[in-house]
Amino acid sequence: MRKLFLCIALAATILSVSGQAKKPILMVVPSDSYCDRNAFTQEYTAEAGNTRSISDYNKAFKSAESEELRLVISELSKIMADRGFPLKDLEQTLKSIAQSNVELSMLQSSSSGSMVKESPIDVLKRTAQADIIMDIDFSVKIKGPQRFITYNLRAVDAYTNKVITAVAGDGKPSGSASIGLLLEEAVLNYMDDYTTALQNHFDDIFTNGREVVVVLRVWDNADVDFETDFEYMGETGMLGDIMDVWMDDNTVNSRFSRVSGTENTIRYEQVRIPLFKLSFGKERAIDARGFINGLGSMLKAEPFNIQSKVYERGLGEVWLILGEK
Amino acid sequence: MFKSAASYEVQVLGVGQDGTKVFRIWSYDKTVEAAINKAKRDAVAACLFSGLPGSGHTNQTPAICKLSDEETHEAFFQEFFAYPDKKGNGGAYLRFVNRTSDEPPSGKYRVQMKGGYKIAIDVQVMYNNLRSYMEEKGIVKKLGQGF
Repeated sequence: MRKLFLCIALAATILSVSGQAKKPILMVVPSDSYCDRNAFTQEYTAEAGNTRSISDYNKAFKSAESEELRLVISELSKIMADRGFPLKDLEQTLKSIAQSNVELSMLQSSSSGSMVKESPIDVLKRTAQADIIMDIDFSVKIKGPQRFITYNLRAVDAYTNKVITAVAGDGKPSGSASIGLLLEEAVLNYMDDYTTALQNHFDDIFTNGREVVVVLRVWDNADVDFETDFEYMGETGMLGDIMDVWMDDNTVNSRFSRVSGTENTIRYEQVRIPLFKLSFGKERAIDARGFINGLGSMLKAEPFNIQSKVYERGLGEVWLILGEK
Repeated sequence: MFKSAASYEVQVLGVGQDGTKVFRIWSYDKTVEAAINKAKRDAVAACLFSGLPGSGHTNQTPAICKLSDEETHEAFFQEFFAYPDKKGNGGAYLRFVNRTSDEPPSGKYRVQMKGGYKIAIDVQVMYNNLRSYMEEKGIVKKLGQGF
């Protein structure tokens, strides 16, 4: 009996030590409407010749009018850090990217003078990335002699584009309080509701698995597509249908939605993946990439013999491109 | 019994200082002093089990604990909510609640009823400290625990 208790205690200890799921990155990002209202935008000419504008976050933080934005972000960061979930800072990330761009362009190996290898996609991926975007919008409104704050804060999953939670409303009008004080009050007013909804979202992840997007594609020169027939588990079926079977077997409670499928592309959304997987003899935390590696291994073996390349877009979206690496 | 909102009423007075909640709470007991003590305890119980309603421009505040936590951690909450004895030693709840004024309730905030008094006092609850305490004691989870 004592041995049994020892075994249970040991198992619990191992689980508690290794049981850390991959932590999502949260970042506060000013909303497009906030940037547009304050002229923190950048115009460019699209391929079709029409002019478009996008939010320019560098301009937003360097502007003299960014004081209020910084105040709101600082207050949100402080509250989230107090709750044990520090945020990634957008302004600092932008600075860090600019700095690493300079360093990468100058870095050479000491023996041959070789530059650091970087593909166009590597360059494209050096942007500020977050798994959950805290999209903030606010403005100061005037009502007679009083001012008040209109405030809107949303948490959006960067991969599924689902709104996790949103809080919005008008603050109490005041004729004497500074804008800084009104903004602080607005942040404090909504944060408890907001963090509780985030906690519910995390609880859901632990219960039902992380929700991710999986996209399967084929290289242009591949000699297979998703309509190619294979014999699998004693039956003959199209590769696309076999992919559905694999998803059904490997998602939590078989939860996934095939939203589109052609001979060249299959897109799965609302894919619930487990947080942990047995890998190299140990339970390890996985993200979308770790999940899809299993499919890559299956395709590599008989009867498929298909090489594939995994392209990850973060914790929650992954592409598997069939045909070659 | 602490999670029952039937014995108290709450009116939020505004957005409190960082980490605090300021509200008016009505409670009932045999004497004014007993009703004040009960109101302070009810104020903490409201933050833990029922949450605070929104009012005017103030948003609602969710409860810190789940409804089932009181039964799950019954012994903890019995000790936590213990009334102060004659020497003033009471449960840990006293650390998280302050009255905003020492004045005894009067006028419309002190109503004599059959068998006792219904009183209202303004209180400040250290909401963040209270939640951190519950996290430390393992009653509630920290945000993102498990990541």
